[in-house]
Amino acid sequence: MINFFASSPLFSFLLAGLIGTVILLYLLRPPVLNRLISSNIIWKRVIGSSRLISERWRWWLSVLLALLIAILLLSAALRPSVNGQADDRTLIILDNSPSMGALTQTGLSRYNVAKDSVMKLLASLSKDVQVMLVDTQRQITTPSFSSISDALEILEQLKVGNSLEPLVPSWVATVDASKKFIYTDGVLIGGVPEGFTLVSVFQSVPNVGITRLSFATIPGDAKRRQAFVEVVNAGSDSQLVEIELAQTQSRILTRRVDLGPYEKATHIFDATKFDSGPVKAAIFSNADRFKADDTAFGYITEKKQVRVGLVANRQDSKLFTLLNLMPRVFVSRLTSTEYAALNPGEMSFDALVFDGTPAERKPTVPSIFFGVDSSTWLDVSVTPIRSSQLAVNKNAGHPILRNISMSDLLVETGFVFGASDDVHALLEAEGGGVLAVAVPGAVKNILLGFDLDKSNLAFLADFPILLSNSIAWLVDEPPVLSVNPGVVTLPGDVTKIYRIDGVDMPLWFADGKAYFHTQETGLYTAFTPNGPLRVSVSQLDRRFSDINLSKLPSLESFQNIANPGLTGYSFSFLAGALTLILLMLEWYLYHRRITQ
Amino acid sequence: MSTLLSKEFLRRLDGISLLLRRPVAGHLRGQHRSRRTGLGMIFADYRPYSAGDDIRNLDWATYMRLDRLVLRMFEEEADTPIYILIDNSSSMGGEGSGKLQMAKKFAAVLAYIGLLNHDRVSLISFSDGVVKEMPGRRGKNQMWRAMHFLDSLKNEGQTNLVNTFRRFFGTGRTRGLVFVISDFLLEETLEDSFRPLIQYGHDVFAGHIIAPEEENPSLDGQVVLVDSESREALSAQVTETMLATYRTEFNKYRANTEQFFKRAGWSYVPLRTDVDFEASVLTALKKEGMFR
Repeated sequence: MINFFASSPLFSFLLAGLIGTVILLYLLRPPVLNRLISSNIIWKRVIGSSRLISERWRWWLSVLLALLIAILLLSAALRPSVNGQADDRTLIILDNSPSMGALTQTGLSRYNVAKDSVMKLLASLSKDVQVMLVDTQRQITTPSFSSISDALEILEQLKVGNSLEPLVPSWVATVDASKKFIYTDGVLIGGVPEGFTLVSVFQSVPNVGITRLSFATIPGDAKRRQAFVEVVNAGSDSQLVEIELAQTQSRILTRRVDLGPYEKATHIFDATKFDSGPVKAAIFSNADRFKADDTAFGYITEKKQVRVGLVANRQDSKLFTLLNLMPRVFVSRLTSTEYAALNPGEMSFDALVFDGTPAERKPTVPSIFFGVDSSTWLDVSVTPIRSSQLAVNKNAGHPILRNISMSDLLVETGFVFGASDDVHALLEAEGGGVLAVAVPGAVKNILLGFDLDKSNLAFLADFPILLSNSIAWLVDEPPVLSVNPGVVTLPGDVTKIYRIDGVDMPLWFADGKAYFHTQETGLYTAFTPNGPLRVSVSQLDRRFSDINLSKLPSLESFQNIANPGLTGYSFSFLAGALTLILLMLEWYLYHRRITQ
Repeated sequence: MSTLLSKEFLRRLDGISLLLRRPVAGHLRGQHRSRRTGLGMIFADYRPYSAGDDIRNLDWATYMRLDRLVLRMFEEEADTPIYILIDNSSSMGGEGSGKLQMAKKFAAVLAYIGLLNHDRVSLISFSDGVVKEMPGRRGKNQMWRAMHFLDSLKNEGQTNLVNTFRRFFGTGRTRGLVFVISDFLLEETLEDSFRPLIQYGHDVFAGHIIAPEEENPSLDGQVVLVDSESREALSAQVTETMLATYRTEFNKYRANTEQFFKRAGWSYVPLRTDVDFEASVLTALKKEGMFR
């Protein structure tokens, strides 16, 4: 019943003070003279008859005060209320958007400051009050009114979320509650809903963060690559920041930069020494109070060097010349006989290019076939064409044909491929059929139904780009999927996804797509039938870093955050204070006369 | 013998005898009028003579005049049962009140006179019932026993006259003279308390012991008045007004007590503890017509 000992510390203090006062009054009571008399029969009559009306009033008043004191103490202890009324309902919105993770000057995050304040509010409420807790990250899926203890349990499970679109549900305005509070820093949720008591936990604090990380090969020098790091200073003071890019212990790039107030800067690093693989970017600053945006993950998908085997029986292969000119390609020439003699397990090529040379068996490495015949290992049907054909349609969305115009391609003789769901059509012939297809899978292939000698492809200006795109598609991994933490959408053919430390992340599928949920930044590898897909989860968004973009005034000290439950004073406090006043009044009316 | 009464005072009591308002019902011959007729000096009535009557009581003058034999009857003088009840409850004590001592002295006087006149004297101490009893004794030589009894009395218990009278007189005591020596500070009314004595037809003499502290208490300020019998505490802020009220109430109480006994046809003597006992008691008793 009496759970008031676990109620507000203020009330406990008041109660202890009252008890102390009563004990002190008892100790200081005047010594009463005890007189032994024969009988007090006559005295009873005398006292009864001599009691004046005022004394009777005083006696009744004293009794009334004592009763009132007892009732108040009891009420303060039990904090009674009537169930089910709007007076007993309290709605609390707790902002747990990413900016609430910023550390305040006290060392606690804004969220923890808000959480502590909410806990104090809950402790100050009457035990029968029904509380609805709503968060802005939708971690509470079905908010409802519940007891304070249930609300505390829910509160314990809440965490700072990663969604950049925090949501204050519109229906909170229609909730029938006598008290409505919102605890926020005002950064991401915008305005405060009408009718809510705002408890601001905003405090302007220094923050620097990474807002972009990308890698690219230097045009004209495919062996060199650069890393682009965008950093931002979201605070009002200049910050000395150290940027670090690391792949392995021997591949680390660092740079110290000075960022002015609210300055955004892009820094380019020469990442030539970085090979394909994961890269971690981090920034360090002594005054930084928000760590979530200090780390970003990337992945270099392009191989630094590609070993290509050109299978051609003629010596004047234009392809050899072109491949030899490609900076990152190391080409080796083979005849069809030499290729046939190779052991598939000892193949030391990243890709093969068949220049009009039929392959007796399906290659075990990605390959490009110029002039495909009707080899039996092909999964697509081929039909010969004998008259000149123009390429009239191309699959412009395919990576192989990116930035290429094939409108002038003329094929004298060759084959066209039948339609198939397992292949990607690249070029359609004028009279029907497909002139070139890309075969996805663990070992990719590009099939062109015509020989270079039987077409004008080698004379087209886009041919080197086509060949470069083809080798990149065959050898390099697909572009990294950079996402924010939260629910990540993946292609529907993803079968598994692992964290970088090998932990299998649960997947679910809906509407032809795959999804997984993560709150942690880092690198993930998804597996598809066409090969791996790298997923970089980082908080690379300016909105993450701008933790000081709030219209709320910056509080100098969180010690002074007013507990809204105590503003206007709680019932227990009022009851306790009134008890003290009544005790003093009672002393003045009655005991003062004795102690004087 | 005892320090209660001085020898000079006892000598003064030698010539005193008790006067009863109505005939007593003693069985032994004594010095008081009896309800029975017989060998007495006071003419009571006539009755027809019957064989066997004492012819010495025949009224010859009437026989001679009326030729009828009538017998003269006289009131027989009998001894008187004297019951002296002494209140030894806690209220009779108290520091320096001397109430119990005064009661003992008064009881000693009564016992001495009674024994001297060959009356059967019983001494009973009571509080909420009979505490101690000296059964009826006759003769002056029993005075030492009475004194010893009185010396042994101590304050104890609460006063309950109803209980005391019912228990003592409910056992068929001979009707006699009942002395009740008490402060009469009773929870019950006097009417209720003395109803048994009225029913049994006893002649009652009340000795009301009054201490000056009760009549005029010296109290002031906040005091807790503790009842010596019930130990009941009564908190009071004593003022002059309240003291005046108390004095008025006490006098009213004393007057009501006296009025009760007078109304019942009984004797009442107030005995103040601050007055010289030996000098005042005989005067008071004679004033009440108790002595001759």
